[in-house]
Amino acid sequence: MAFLNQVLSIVIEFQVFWLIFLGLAAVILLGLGTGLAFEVRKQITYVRLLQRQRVTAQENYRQAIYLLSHEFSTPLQTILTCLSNLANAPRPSAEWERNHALAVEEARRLGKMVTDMRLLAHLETKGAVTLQPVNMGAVIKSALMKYSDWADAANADIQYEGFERLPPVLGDRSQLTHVMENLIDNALKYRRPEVPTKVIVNATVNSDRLYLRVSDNGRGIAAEDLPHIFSPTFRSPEASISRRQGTGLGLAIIKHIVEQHKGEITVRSQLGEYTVFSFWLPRYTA
Amino acid sequence: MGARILIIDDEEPWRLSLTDTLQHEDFEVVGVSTAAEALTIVQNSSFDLLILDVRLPDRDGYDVCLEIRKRPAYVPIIMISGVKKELVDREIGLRLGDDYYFEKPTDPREIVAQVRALLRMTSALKSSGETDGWLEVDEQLRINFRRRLVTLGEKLIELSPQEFELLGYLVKHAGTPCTRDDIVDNVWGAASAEEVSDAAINTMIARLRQKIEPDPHSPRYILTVHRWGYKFRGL
Repeated sequence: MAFLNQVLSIVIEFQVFWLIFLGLAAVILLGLGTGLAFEVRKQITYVRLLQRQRVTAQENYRQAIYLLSHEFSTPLQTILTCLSNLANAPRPSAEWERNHALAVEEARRLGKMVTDMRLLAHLETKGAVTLQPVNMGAVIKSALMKYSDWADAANADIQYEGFERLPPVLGDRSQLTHVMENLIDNALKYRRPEVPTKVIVNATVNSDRLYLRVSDNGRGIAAEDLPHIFSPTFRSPEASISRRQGTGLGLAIIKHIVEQHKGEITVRSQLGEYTVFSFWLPRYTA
Repeated sequence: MGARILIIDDEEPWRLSLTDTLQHEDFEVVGVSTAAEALTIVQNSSFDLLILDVRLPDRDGYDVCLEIRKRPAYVPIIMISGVKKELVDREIGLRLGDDYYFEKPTDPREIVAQVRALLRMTSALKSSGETDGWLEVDEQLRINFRRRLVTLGEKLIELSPQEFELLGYLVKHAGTPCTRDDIVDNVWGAASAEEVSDAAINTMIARLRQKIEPDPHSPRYILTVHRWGYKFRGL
């Protein structure tokens, strides 16, 4: 008992108690801290792992779409060729004729989808690959010329109203051609039968940008659809009415291409009146 | 007998269907599925045109293209691919000297049209009976791209380098309308296109017509395409 009292008095006198208390507290805190730090690190690693997995999953998904679209292309090519050969041979009946025509139409549609899927997957993974000075004037006029016969037949008026000659942009000519052709194609596709169709392509320039615009007096896009039209899954309800059907990927691809070229695309529209797609691209200076 | 065409592709159903298509157009068609077979067969017999897949089981189609281009006789090649690694392949394909490139799926009518166009171009090149690159447009006008010479009848025509470029570009796209912008791109280059006005192009066309057209006021070679530009008459 006397011994215990002695120890106690030493503890009190030299404040060893506090030392022990502090020591214990320090040990506990250190332990907690280490545990906490470990836990935080574990969580961070976990989140990073999840992110990596998601990126890998997206990457795999794109890769899969890209490969699939390639794998589909040869059998589709064979089907298209066989159908074309059948058309060269004697045609047995009206029923045959009808079914053959349907098969050709659907095979072509599938072909367009495969091509669009491949292009989109390519753009998402690799982007524009052949960068060189491109004369957008040539791109615009070739696209207009390509559609001029079709437009004449449909009694549609397509015009270029812009600078006579444009400065170059740095880009991939075939991709920029894809943008122009598809915007013109859309403008002609969604026309209103009750008014004479008018499609105007406009191009202007300032010191560092080219501004391009494709406007039509067609069916227009509903206000609630406007925010979604550049998403790969969007398909205008109007599209099913038209015989010149699209794949639903068209505008997503266009947006991708414009952004890969460090530009920007926007749309204005009034349902039943007009649609205007405007985009700009940076000027190229050597 | 139509032209002889060799198809080199390991996808048998597609090869057979394309064979049918081309035979219907009166071409004589031979099909092989490997690079080795292709290189052997071109040693032993001659073809007017080759349709070559980029991906073959034993060798890269580009290698085959390069091998064939080393041979002295020129034969036009159309390259095809269902599995194309990159869009950049298109550039490589063109640099290797193949004459046309398409991706599957392509409308078979387009393939036939391209085959015909290529054969017409090559036969026009050969029709003079010489091997030094004379293109005989008709009994009057002859063009030599390698030596950059133009003759009208017996007369040698003097063209400036730019005029020759312009004529060359139009002839290479014979039968197809070329916009003034296309002309600017290919004669002056896209980077300096902005400085060249439509009027300047029209003036140059007028000068070229003065030199090569028997009657510049009713041209028979360089035709005006209303609204768009010009085209060289079909070969």
